[in-house]
Amino acid sequence: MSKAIYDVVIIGGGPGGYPAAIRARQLGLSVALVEREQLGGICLNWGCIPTKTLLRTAEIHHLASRASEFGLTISEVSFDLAKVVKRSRKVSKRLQTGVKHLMKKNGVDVLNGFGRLAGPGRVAVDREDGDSVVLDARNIILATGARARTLPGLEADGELIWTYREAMVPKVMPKRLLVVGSGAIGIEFASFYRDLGAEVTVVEALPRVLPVEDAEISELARKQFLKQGFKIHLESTVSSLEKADDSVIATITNAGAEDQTETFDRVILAVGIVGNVEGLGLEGTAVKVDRTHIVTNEWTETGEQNVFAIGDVAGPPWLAHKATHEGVLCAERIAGGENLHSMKPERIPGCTYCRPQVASVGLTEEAAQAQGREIKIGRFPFAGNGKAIALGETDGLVKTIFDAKTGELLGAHLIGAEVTELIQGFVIAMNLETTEAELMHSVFPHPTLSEMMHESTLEAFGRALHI
Amino acid sequence: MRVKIEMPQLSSDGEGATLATWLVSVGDRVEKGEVIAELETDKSTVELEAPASGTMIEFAVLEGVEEIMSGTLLGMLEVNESAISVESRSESDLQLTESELPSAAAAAAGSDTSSESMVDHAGSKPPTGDGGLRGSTPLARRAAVERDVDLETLAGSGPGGRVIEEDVLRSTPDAMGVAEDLTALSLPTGAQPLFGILPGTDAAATLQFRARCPMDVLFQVRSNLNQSLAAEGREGQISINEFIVRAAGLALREVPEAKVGFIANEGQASEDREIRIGLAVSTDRGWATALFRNPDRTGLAALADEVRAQSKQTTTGELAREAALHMTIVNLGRSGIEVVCPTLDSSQSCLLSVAAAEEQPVVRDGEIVVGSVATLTLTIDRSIVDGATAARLLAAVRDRLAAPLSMML
Repeated sequence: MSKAIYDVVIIGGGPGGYPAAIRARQLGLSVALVEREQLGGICLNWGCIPTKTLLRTAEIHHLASRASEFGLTISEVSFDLAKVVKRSRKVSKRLQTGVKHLMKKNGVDVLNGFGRLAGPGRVAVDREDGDSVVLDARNIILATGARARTLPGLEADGELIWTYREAMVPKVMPKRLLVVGSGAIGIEFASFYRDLGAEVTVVEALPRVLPVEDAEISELARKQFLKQGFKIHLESTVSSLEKADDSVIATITNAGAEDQTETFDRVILAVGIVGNVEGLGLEGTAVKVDRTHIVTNEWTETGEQNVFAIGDVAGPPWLAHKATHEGVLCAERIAGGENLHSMKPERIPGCTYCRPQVASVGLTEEAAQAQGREIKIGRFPFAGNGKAIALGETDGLVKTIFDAKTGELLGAHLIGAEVTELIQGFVIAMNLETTEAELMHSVFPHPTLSEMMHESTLEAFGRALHI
Repeated sequence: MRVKIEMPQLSSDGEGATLATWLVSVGDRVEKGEVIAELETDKSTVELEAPASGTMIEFAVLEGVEEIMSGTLLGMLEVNESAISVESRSESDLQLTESELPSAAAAAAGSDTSSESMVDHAGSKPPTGDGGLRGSTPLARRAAVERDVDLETLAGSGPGGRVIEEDVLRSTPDAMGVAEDLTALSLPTGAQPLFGILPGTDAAATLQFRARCPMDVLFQVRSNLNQSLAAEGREGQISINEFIVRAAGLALREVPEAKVGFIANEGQASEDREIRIGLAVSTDRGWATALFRNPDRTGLAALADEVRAQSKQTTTGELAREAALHMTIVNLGRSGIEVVCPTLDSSQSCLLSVAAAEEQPVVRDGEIVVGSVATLTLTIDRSIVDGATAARLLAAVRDRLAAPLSMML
């Protein structure tokens, strides 16, 4: 490589690593990016993007099956699974090429291989052909991401028992599918397979689906899923998976009931993730690892000087946009930027692209109350919004939570069509430290779903117009 | 009405500038457009003009300070009501020429609406006719009203110097933002973080009281005492610290309810007859606390000897911190710091900070004269010390310092 000492060497080219590389180059630093697999990381190749592509197919399929409601006649809706998967892969490929181009355009040296710390200020890159290169680095950013967590006795085999990777490229449509875990990943796959006709059973250890969401939203989601024909076992676990010829016999355990045994064609494990910290050469350094994740402070600094960690490997929330923000912040920190603001975790939005979509930012009602805050809550249902009725999407809710004393927008929790595109309005509002007054004062365009954001705010203060 | 004097943008690449010279003094009357300071960049010297006519009341940045970024507060002017208000200027306003500034009437109308929306907590009426992007966020404005903070006195840490809520919270007693940074520093063994709040302390339980204390008599008395010491051929001088320590001791004797030491790690208040006062001393290894037992019964000269002895000790690593302190004193007067807002650590219940005395117009016998005034700030843990008690304690300290002869008895 051309430079003797890099200002920054980044290990991992996912949604944390590659934006960090771009930002560092913008700030005039020399950068090398080490990636063992594909640029864009899980997000772009095996996560956010390909699943959104699959879910778009599911959405169109669902709408087509409702064609008569809209006065259309579509005699039979069917699909070609291979083409569905092919489109998803094509979209990922296109974006991956885009990232490659961005690296080239910004002058980032990209090295293929497995990067690891090799003494202070040094990164070794083990290449596939067995060769190893050592880079000198003034700063090192660990952005190695995470992978699916497996539970003892519930190991994925890639054939009958899948993680997100296999679930994304199915060769046959399972008739009976078991999804273990009802977080964002589990529920999105459940939604995709259900919309394409699979019988879907979801098992969740906690008392509600989408457990990180506001309890009211979780409950609305559960009802919608049941209406769509999901089977949901809450406060339950899968105690064993017994593989048969082309099926799996699962034992579902619930503390309050007898064990149930049921046969499924495929199983998707979505019980969380673990950080990729193995083989990184952290032993003997001051980098601390807590339950597979690297411990960092609010400036993405690890215990070791000039070694930083960002994204999934550096702890929750496990979201691509959190990784990107940390990557940019980290690059600015390294460049000695002034007036930097550390990331406020409570202002990171979360989106789940199941049907109905779920999006949220800030405190849940429960969390706000736990903080001892006096709150005001606004609710506005999709059924009261003209655009939602016109779209034929009348199930859903926009819930807002304000501090009763200061008017601070503490949280927003949405469920229903397109809410993942609405949430940004509340995110911006929070970052501008908005109170209810500015939200009330803003003119929202009519007719749009966004009017519900306005109405929900008004409702919190007893002033809703359309309810 | 107060008007901010801010650092203008001097270069397009955002480099800071140095405040070379103030051409006016605090208390001077200046006319709008009058050159009040000289600023230096790498390339040139620039004259800073007064943004309005009024009286120079405060310097926020002293001469010789380097790399001041645009938007930084340099000083404050007091103007009369008819002067043009340039409060809450946004970043873009800085680029405007004077003729583009909003007229007095428009500016006044703008600030009216903002105060209306600030007070309008229940949201019964949305704000109307907002005057555009301001130098503070809506939440910061509300927090400022609630905490009675003048937004104009705050330096914003948001984009373009925008005042955000955190800035307001930081400026008031029960905000611990600054403290977190300081506790993170690794201090030498035995030394305590000066303004740090230690884990386990309830940040919301602190309360601050502030009093202005005339210092003229004290300065005179000290000067006389030191002259007579010198005449007697005695070594050493009496510093302001000794007066403060003694005044605090006498005040604690007078208001014994305030004398509650908090034993660190045990979470128990203790009461005893001894009065123990700590004085924060700057050593070459950071801040350390010198301990005084019953300073109300010790003469000033003896106290001065003790301060010297303990300062030497602290540099060799021995620190007097074995007993719970009834009060800790921080005197930053010599550093020229005008206001100190310290926070408590878990072993303290009372913290008195003394800021630099400033020459100020004071009214004496119906006449305006120039006097030296220092701001005293008493921070208490209100879960241990009652607010009314603290107010009496601070008044007692102030009365002693204002009339130092009362300490001689």
